[in-house]
Order: sequence, then structure tokens, then C-alpha cells
Amino acid sequence: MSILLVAKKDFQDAIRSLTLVAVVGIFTAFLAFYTYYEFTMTPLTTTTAFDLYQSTANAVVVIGTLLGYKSIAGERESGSLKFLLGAPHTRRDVVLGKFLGRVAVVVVTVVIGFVVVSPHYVMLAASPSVTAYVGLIGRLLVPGVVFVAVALALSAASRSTTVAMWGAIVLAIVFAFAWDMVRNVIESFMLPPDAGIPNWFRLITRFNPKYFYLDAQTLELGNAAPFYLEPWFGGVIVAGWLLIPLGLAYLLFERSDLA
Amino acid sequence: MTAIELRGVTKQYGDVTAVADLDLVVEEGSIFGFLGPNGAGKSTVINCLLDYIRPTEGQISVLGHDAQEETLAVRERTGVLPQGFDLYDRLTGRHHLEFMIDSTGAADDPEAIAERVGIGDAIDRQVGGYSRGMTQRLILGTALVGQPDLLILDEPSTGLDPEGAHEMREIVRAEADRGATVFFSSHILGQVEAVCDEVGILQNGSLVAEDTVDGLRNAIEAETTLTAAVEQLPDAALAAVRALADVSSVSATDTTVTVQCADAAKMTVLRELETAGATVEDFELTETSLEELFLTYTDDETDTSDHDRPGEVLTQ
Amino acid sequence: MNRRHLAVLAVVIAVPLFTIGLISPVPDYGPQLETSVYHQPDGNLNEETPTVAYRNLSTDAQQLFDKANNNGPNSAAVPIDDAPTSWATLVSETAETNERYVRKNGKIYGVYLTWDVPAPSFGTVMLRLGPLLGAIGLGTLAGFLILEDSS
Repeated sequence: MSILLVAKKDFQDAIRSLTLVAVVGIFTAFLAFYTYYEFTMTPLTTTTAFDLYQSTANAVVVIGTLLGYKSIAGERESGSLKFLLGAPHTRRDVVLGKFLGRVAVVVVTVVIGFVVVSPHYVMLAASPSVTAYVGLIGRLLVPGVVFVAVALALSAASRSTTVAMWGAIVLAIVFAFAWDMVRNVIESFMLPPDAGIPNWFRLITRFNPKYFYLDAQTLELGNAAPFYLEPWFGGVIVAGWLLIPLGLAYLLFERSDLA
Repeated sequence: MTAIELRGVTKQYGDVTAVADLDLVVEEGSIFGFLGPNGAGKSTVINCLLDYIRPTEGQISVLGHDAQEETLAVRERTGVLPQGFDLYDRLTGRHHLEFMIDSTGAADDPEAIAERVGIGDAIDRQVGGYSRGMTQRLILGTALVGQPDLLILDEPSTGLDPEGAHEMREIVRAEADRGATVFFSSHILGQVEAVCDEVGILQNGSLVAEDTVDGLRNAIEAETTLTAAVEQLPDAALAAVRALADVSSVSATDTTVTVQCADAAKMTVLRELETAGATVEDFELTETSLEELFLTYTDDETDTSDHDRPGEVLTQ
Repeated sequence: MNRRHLAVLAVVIAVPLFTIGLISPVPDYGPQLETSVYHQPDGNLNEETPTVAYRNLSTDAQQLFDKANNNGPNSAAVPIDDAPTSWATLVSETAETNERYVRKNGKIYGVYLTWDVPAPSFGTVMLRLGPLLGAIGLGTLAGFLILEDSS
């Protein structure tokens, strides 16, 4: 109950932010442009909603990070945390409540963008599919929620928003952009060219929350796949990404002086 | 019953000791004034009571609960006006009051509380547009939600005009009449004197006096302030005077010594000064006021501030 | 006119603007077969490049060859779907160019077949994207105005 009250208050506060309105506007404009680009520029390949995933996922990672990094450090710096904890809530309620509140904001941001762009998608796609479109939103929310958790964890663990901000920027760059580059370099130059991609390399790829869904089915590997490429293992990876940072941050936050 | 009990509480930040081995007891139902200059450690103590920070050593019990282990039980029965707080600029006064009402499960009416603290007409405005005084009134309002058994108010009159400070004292009195304990910190004696039953004076992280306001007054009536002009002042002279039994405090500038002592001890003090090599050229005796007493308690022993204008130090 | 009225106005403009964007034609990104024809001097021939006789070409291919040969820039483009099948299958998105010789009236011509997706003019693109992005911008502005109004 306490957690939900903190979440509600946090959502009410965040949703009134001018920055958030700007983020929603920019994301929607980006999505409109990117949908147009993907569906028109490759006329002979059949484009589906899932082809929008790659770049949109990067945008969602950035949005999640943006929403999370200030959430607790900012309140600690300004002193509103004293008001929050003056009410009968524990520090655990604050961490989890803030997390839920920010997750709600990520969901709202992404959903607004996709709802606005949906008629555009219907006009462009050869065979528009509600299932594929909703599935895409669902899949995108996973890295969004994970990065809210990671940035919020940094925010809870650091005393100043500056530290939290740089930590969050580094993480977003690593997982949204650098990861793909390094992966491509390894794949092109360091793996034996004819042997195909080894499973361990697929697992490393999958550790990036952006690629949690790359399992034996989506990669069409047949039945020979090891357990860590099964679909359920994606759930394990995502759960790890949520629980480990939030857990560690909570332990630090619980022990630290807040004033 | 005790509302607040501190036993041997120490708080260190690295090498800096903010609070040193503090013992303090506040009885239930009283209005306790927690006095001390800025930086004396008042807020550190209050932050420990509310578990915003953790003491390095010592035990704190609030309303019979361990402040560090049973934080939630403490917060459920405590209304808080912290120092250095901030509110949510984008939310309205009503949002804040409703959040506190929902959190405590109280049946209060946000408008009635806003009216009581004097922001009834601003309740639906965003807090970002509030003045400092209005923010202070709003957080006092949120502290009153749910009729708490204990009110912890850290420098509550910050940002309030004299009228606002007066209204705040009225509310404190009304809450005490209802049966609540009020723990009220301030660096301004006047605010505490007018409303408190008991006073504790904190200086450099230690309690230098704890008494009822009346008790302090009685102590003063028997006290005298002796101001002596001297030709020279060896360190030994100060130490010698300080060592005397009936002397409560000593401070000095280059050629002036100010001593607070029992009325009967004034000649002993003068003799002691002479003996130690400080030739007394002139001296003056005045009765100590509560204000001066506070100053002498809170002045650093080597402080050289001008005692003729005590108000300046207190209200800065 | 207060901020709330301005926000309503922004939305009132944004909705039809968005609709205009939606119904304006999607610019054509159809791939084309670009055919370039150059007279090849004797003795300068690559032995590995296949050579075909003009008369063995399909009628479509002959027409395209002549069109390109007579064109000022020595090239002509046709949508891939209308291109001579024998030539269109030689190129694709991944294999972009193909080179061959055509012998006509004793002369050798080099023929370069290129896969090309020409970008439509900026104007055509903006006819669709412009109103959409403009409407999204106005929607965002309305959001700003509503928030500003409540503070």
C-alpha cells in the first residue's frame, strides 16, 4: 500500500514535468519518421512491425535512463526525501514506489508515441497487424523498464545527481550503442569465419537487456539449443537485470545517511 | 512516560564530531525547546530521531520505539517539519496534504488543515509558486495530519514573518493542549521562551543546559554578570577563574573579561583575577537576562564576540 | 486568449494536419534498373565479360539499349518491374551492378546494369512527413501550454 502511494505521488509529479512532455514529443516524432523510413526505403523486403525494434529500443533505453537517474538522488539533494520519509514509509517503500512510478511513466511515454503513430503505420504497412504492433510495444518496454531500474539504482546509491547522471550516461551508451559495435567487431574479426556463431556468443549478446528475446525460437536454431538460449532464460536475464541493481542499491540506500 | 530518550548518542562525520555522547529525555505531553546556535548539532539530533541519518553510537527511543529499528512505528505517530526540506514544485498543496492523509490513513480534510495553517486560498496552486513562508505553512500542515502523538519541528519559523511565527506558536500550543508532545528546535531564544515548558541548550554537539524555562529564570536571578576591564590578561587568569566553584561561564576579549557567576562569588572572582596577574582597572555588575544566559551557554569559550549586542548574534 | 485556449487551438490545428499527412501519397521508393551504354573501343575488352549480339536480345532489352544509347547521359532508367526480365534478374539489392558487352552493327558496346533506389524529391517526402511531424509538434506544444496553465 505504502509502495503504491509513493508510486502514485511520483507519477503525478513526473507526469507534470515539461521535460517529459518534450521527451514524449521527440519520441513520437522520431517514431513517425522511423516508421516511414523503415516501411518505405526497403520496398522489396517485407517490412514488419518488429523491424522497428532496433533503433526504437535504443531510444527507449535512453528514455528509461533519463527517467531514472534523478529519481532518488534528486530528491535527496533537494530535500524532498525528508518530506517523503516524514510520512510513514520505509526506505524500501521509497525505492520500490519510485521504481513503479517511473515504470508507469515509461509505459505512458512509449504508448502515447505508438498510439499517435499507429494510423501512420496502418497506412504504410503492407499487412498491418495489431498483434505485431502490440507485441512490439511489449518487447520494447522490457529494456525501458530494465533501464529505469538500473538508473534508479544508481540514483539511490549515489549522493549527488551528477554522479548518478554520469553513471547512467555511461550505462546507456554501453548497452544501447557500444555493445552492438563491439559485438560486430568480435563477430567479424575474431570468430572463425566458417564455423557459424557459437552459442556462447549468442548468450553474451542476449545478456544485453535489449536482446533478451533472442532465443532459440527467434533465431530458428531448432531443438539443439542449450538451455540458456531457451525462451524462459530471457526471463531469468531480465529478472537479474531488475533484481541485482535494485537489490544492491537498496542495501546501500538503507545504510546511508540521507541528510 | 518519555516521548524521546537519547542515551550516549554520538554522530561523527569522518573526523568531525557533530554530536558527542548526548543524553536527553523529553517527557510525554511537554513542549520541549531545543536551543542552540546554527551548527550546534540540533538538526543532526533531529535527523537521528527520524532515522534520516544513523548515529555512530548510542540508543535513541522515540515514543517507546527504537528510532533505527522501528522507524515505521515512529513515523506513524510523528508529525515532522524538517529543516532543509523541499516539496514537489509541480504538485499542489492539496496533493501534498492528500499524500500525507493517505499515507497515515487519517480521516483529515485537506481544506480544513490548509485553512488552519493559513494557506486555504492557495491549496490548489502548485507549490512551485509558493513563497518560503507558505511552503513552511504547508509542511506544518502535513505534520499535523493524523493528530500525531509527537511533533518534531526543526526551526519551524524559518521564512515566516512575525505574524506567521506567532500563528505557528498558537498551533504548537493547541497541539500540546490536545496532548501531543512537541519537540521544537530553534536558534532564537524568544521563540522557544514564549511557548516551551522545557529547554535544552545544545552547543558543539553537547547539551550544556537542560531545565524548565522557569528553572532557567530562577538560575539567572541568582546570577550576576561581571564585566571587568583589565590591563593585561594572562591565559592563566582565565583558567583560574573558570576553575572557581560558582562561576558558570567565562569569556574574554583582549582587555575585557566577562564572567557569569553566583552573586556571592563576585569578589572571589575579582581577587582571583588580580592574583593571576590581571590588573583590574574597572568593573561593572549587571543582572543576567535569559538572552545573555543563552549566549553565555552557546558561546565558544574562546569566543570574542561583543556581548553588548547579544541580539545580533542570535538573530543572524 | 489564455494558455488553455491556445492549447485547444493547437489541437484543433494539429488534428486535420495529421490527417492531411496520413492521406497524402506515399512517395515512390520503387527500385529501378539503370542501364548505361558506352561505345567500347576495340582491343580494350575484358575477356571475362560476356558478350551478346544485339539481335539475340529481347525486344524490351533492345528498346532499353537504344533508349540509353541515344540519351544524352548515355543511360536510361526503368522501374524494375517493367524492365526486361533477362536483365532485371542480373541485379538485385545485394548485387548492384552487372557488366556485359553488346555487339551491334559490328561495334562493341559496354552495358552497365545498375540497381538503384532513387530518393524522391524532398518536397514529395515533406508533403507526407511534414504535416505529421508538424501535428506532433503542435500536440507537444499543447501539452506545454496545458502544464503551464495549471501552474
